Amino acid sequence: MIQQEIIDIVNRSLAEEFELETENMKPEAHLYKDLGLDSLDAVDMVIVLENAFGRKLRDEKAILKIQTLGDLYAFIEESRRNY
Amino acid sequence: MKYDFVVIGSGVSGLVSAIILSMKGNRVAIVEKAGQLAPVLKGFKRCGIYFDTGFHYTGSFARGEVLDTYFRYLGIENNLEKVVYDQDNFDTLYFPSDGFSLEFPSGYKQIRQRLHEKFPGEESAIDYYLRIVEQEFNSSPYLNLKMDSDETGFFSKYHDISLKSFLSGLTGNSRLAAVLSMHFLLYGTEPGLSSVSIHAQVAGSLYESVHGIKGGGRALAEALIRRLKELGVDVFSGRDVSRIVSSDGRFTRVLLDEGEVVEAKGCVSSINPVLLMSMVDESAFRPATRRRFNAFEHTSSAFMFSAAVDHLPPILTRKNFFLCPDLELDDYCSSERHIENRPFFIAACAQKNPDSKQGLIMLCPGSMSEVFAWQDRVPKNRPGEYLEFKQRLSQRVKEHITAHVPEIPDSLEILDCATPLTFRDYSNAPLGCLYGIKQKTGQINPSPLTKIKGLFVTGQSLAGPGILGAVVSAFLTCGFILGRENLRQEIRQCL
Ligand SMILES: Cc1cc2nc3c(=O)[nH]c(=O)nc-3n(C[C@H](O)[C@H](O)[C@H](O)COP(=O)(O)OP(=O)(O)OC[C@H]3O[C@@H](n4cnc5c(N)ncnc54)[C@H](O)[C@@H]3O)c2cc1C
Repeated sequence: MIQQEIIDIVNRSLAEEFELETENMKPEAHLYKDLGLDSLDAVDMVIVLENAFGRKLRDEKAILKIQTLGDLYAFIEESRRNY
Repeated sequence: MKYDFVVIGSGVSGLVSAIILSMKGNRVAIVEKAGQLAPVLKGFKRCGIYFDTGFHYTGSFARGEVLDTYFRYLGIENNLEKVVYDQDNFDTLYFPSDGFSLEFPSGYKQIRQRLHEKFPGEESAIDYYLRIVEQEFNSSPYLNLKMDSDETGFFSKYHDISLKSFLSGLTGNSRLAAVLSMHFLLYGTEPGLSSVSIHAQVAGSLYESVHGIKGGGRALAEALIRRLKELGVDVFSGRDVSRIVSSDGRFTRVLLDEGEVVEAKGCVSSINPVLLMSMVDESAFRPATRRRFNAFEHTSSAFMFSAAVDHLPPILTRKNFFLCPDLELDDYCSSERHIENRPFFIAACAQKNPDSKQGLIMLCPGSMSEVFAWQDRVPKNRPGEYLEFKQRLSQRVKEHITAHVPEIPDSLEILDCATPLTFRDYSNAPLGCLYGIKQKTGQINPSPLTKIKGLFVTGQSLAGPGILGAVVSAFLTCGFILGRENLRQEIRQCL
């Protein structure tokens, strides 16, 4: 179970920094196909989320696997456990 | 007339990008704000002596090394004559406070031996440091063309570690740490802020080999420009790009200050990324990207004193001299320091003068805040006070240098002083920064791609500093346009 706090922070940061519509931000939403992000945005996304969560998130292998918002929440949750 | 590509800026990275794209059969135009192409490389003349600005020496330029390979790919190598720096001492680091000096030789083996002699008891720290520098340098597919693939990650361990913390983990000897970090002055990001990776790119190239070019930066500029003309690239000089226009997320054209328009299918921009942000539509970049670009810090600016001497001292014959005030390198670029407490890089001019006088330059960090009062004036219109300020500074520097570097003859006559305003005015560098953006630990630098399709960025230390960094950056950017692996394989054939 992923904490609501993580979901809120991710959604808020992405909505603000990438001008995404909040109503589209469902866990199953695909970052690239549904939300219109692209691989270029990945770098900025990492930086934005690092600032929001105050820790480093530079696990490239894990980042490459992220497809949906739900994957992203799980990645943050996992990084918190490893921190 | 519609081009395939328009390149903005004719520094090393812009010229190299234009040449590569044009070699691949594209119709290319290049737009330069200054009256002449390559203003940073070209240097200038005072009292009949030619002075270099943006190029004195470089690493990795021996036959078969990476810069040599890139130049051969570009077809300019026959117009460049290499000058090998003193292999036993390419840079002297001298600390007048206690007379300590280190003569840097080229070659890892020689450096290792020299450092072992100078720092007994520090052998394992020295060996570890040199091993990591070599390993980091060789882990970049654009510096190590022998690597089979160009796959690299965004993140590497040594990208996230500052040079200072890396060295303090290796040694408690602060002199050793200062000596190993001193080449930060060549990329302008202090050891506490710069990553081990970026340091390795610059220091690692010098540890391989050190060369100048006969005729200096001007000769390099001329070789690049000759190639550009051979390839039929159209040149718009003395024209300032004021706007980059896109429609439906695709680049369409650039607008020049006098209402001229250059249309092209694609654009490579080599101007400072912070300036770029003000030239594109607000909506063309995501807020996150805009914030990241706008947060880039600029490298330090400088004062550069050009001087004449009646003979060149041996300490400047095929070698440079660093006058090092103390061990506080993180504070070296502070404008709070009196000019006498700043580090100086001293180098001879590349062109020998037929008559008796020889030229040398003395470069020290400087900040726009020191010349703030005159910043709104155009160069020809600055008041007498500005000249007086420069004269006072020059007098102090003359006294300081002749007192602390006895080898420099008393005949030293300072002919001119360039300030942060000069660097800003001649290359449109924000705050007169010497090397583009600061490459800080953990900072992720812009990819050559932007949100606007067809608009690419290059140069300005985005990939790495100095001439080598600018050349690498141009190849990296053109790789994104032409196919990275193909371009790299073609370059490898020049190895
Ligand atoms: C004093 C000094 C000494 C140096 N010494 C060395 C050295 O010994 N070895 C070494 O390897 N490196 C050295 N460097 C660094 C090296 O010169 C630079 O890293 C390199 O030249 C950067 O090239 P670039 O193409 O990125 O940028 P630049 O050369 O700055 O090119 C950008 C160009 O864009 C133009 N431009 C800007 N805005 C606009 C606009 N709106 N429209 C049109 N054109 C525009 C500028 O006029 C400029 O020509 C030195 C630099 C300085 C300043």
